[in-house]
Amino acid sequence: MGAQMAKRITLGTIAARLALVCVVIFAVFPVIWTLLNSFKEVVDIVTPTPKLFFSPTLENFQYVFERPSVRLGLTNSGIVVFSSVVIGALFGIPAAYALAHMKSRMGEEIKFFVLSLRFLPPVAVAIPLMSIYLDLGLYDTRLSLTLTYVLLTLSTIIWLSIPAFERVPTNIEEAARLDGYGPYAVFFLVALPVAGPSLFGAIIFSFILVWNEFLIALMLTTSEAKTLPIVASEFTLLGRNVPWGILNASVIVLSIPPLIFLGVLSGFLNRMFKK
Amino acid sequence: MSNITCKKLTKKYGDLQVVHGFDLDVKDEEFIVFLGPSGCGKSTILRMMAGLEDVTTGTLEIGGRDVTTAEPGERGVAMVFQNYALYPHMTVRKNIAFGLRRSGLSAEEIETKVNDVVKMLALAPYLDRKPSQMSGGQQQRVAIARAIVKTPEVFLFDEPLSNLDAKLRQQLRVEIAKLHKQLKTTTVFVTHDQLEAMTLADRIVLMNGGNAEQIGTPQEIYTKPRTLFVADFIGSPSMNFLPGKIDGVSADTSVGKFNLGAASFAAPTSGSATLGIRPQNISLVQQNDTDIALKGTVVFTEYLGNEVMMIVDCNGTEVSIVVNANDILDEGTDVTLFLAQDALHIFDTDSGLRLNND
Repeated sequence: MGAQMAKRITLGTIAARLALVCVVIFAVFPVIWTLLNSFKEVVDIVTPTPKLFFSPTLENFQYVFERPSVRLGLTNSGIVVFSSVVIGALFGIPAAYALAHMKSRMGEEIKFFVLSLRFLPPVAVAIPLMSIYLDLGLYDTRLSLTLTYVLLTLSTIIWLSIPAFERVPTNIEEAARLDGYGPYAVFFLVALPVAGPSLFGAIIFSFILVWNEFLIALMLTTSEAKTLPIVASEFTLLGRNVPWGILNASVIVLSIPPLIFLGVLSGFLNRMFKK
Repeated sequence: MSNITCKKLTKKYGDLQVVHGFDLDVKDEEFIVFLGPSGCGKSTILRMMAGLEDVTTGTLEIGGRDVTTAEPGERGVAMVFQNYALYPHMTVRKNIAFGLRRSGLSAEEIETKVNDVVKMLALAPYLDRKPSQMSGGQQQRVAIARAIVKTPEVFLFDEPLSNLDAKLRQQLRVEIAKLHKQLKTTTVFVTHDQLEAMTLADRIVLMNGGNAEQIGTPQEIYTKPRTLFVADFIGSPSMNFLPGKIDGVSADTSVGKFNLGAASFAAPTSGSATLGIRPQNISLVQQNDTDIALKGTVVFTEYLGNEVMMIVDCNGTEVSIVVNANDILDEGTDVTLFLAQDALHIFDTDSGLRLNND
């Protein structure tokens, strides 16, 4: 009886595992194939029978990194994303702290407004912004793109940080007030470190959001301020023969920073949570 | 000098008034316990003393200084919370020292003070641990250490033992009592546990619906409850209540008529009165000629170790009694209960006030 039960559970577990493996393969296989293709020569990519074993080449990556447009895109993406995330965090985290403590109708309204910033389709925002920036002479500049991205990072960081601050027990902050600390000291010495791990999550999320952002960048830049996703997408327009290898390599280049960020920081986060 | 004076304190949340003109003088070195059911306003008053809640009207003085609108950190108070409220990102040592970092003391002075308190509460083995690595009891001891190290004028405890299991609660209760004997710091302690209140308090403030129902020593509260509410709230098991009418010295209650000639009390205004007697004051043998005798049947027994609690059905009214465990009776046994008249409490049913002349 007991053995039978165990057996049934094992069968169930195996079925679940199999289903899980199928889903994972379904999700991860295209990524792995892209990774493989980025090291292949075009001949190996376009063969009718897919090749798992081939002599790898770095030509695609070499080509990608030698393109001035890619270097410019990388610089632009770096500067724009870094600035917008830093500005978003600098203003968003204190705003979220204030909102988490604002237990009134007004607070609810502000929270909803912040969320509503994320409701509009990006195009609806991008077209008016485009004409504003054209008038101001800021079109196709890193500054205008950064300003626009701050809207995204700010609302995302505020929205994700509010629950992080709400989870900080009120009594801890009260204890600090009784220990003689003013509101700023309570924020920096108590609330911020306690909510820290969750705030990192909010920052990473907003980083990935703007790093991958395509549509707004497409509309607000033409040459000088183009970000990496725009540059990468342009490889498909390099003529009739789609340069699959180069395209794949550029996709990999594009994916690496968020992966590193997530990988390094998730380890850090795990440690934070364990302690 | 660290007495506390509350004058006509009120607290309103919007239209909801939770404290109605609260007056209290806490003497220097006194241990005051606020006792009452949840929602009676006891924690709100404590938090107003701490400065964590605004005072709607009234004034609050600590050590002769008006602190009604002072910041929490400027009042010279230290507070211990129900859920410990330790800083989770700091070690025990840093938690204790955190409040001193604002005081302008040198690092060595802080070190000395922290070590003294750590010795007092035997926390040395835990100094480098984070709160999450400690049990609830240890965490609360750290919180107490954090309060003591500041040598405040007043300690405020907000149900500090409620999150602990029974054994730890008792240990820590004794520890708090000893600390108060040693430090003599004026203390206000909020609890809903009458045992904590009775054992710790110099005076109990029994709260009900935002008012102080009675302020007195534990003995006063137990032996001379000012109102029906107090009588019902204090004592375990609860006092027995026999509602009825009183005319002169004769009482007509749900368990029968009897003469109250041996008790001294004022007449109830409308004649409606409630007789109260504690289960411990009911005997199975007659002690005095004036004892009131009630006939009944044992319907339920509860063995408590050295004592036994029995519920006796007297003419449809259930009366609980507590007697020596040797006197345990089987359920269904017929008994005669003897109520000592000098232990009888007589309340005016309408006003709830106690009418005894003592």
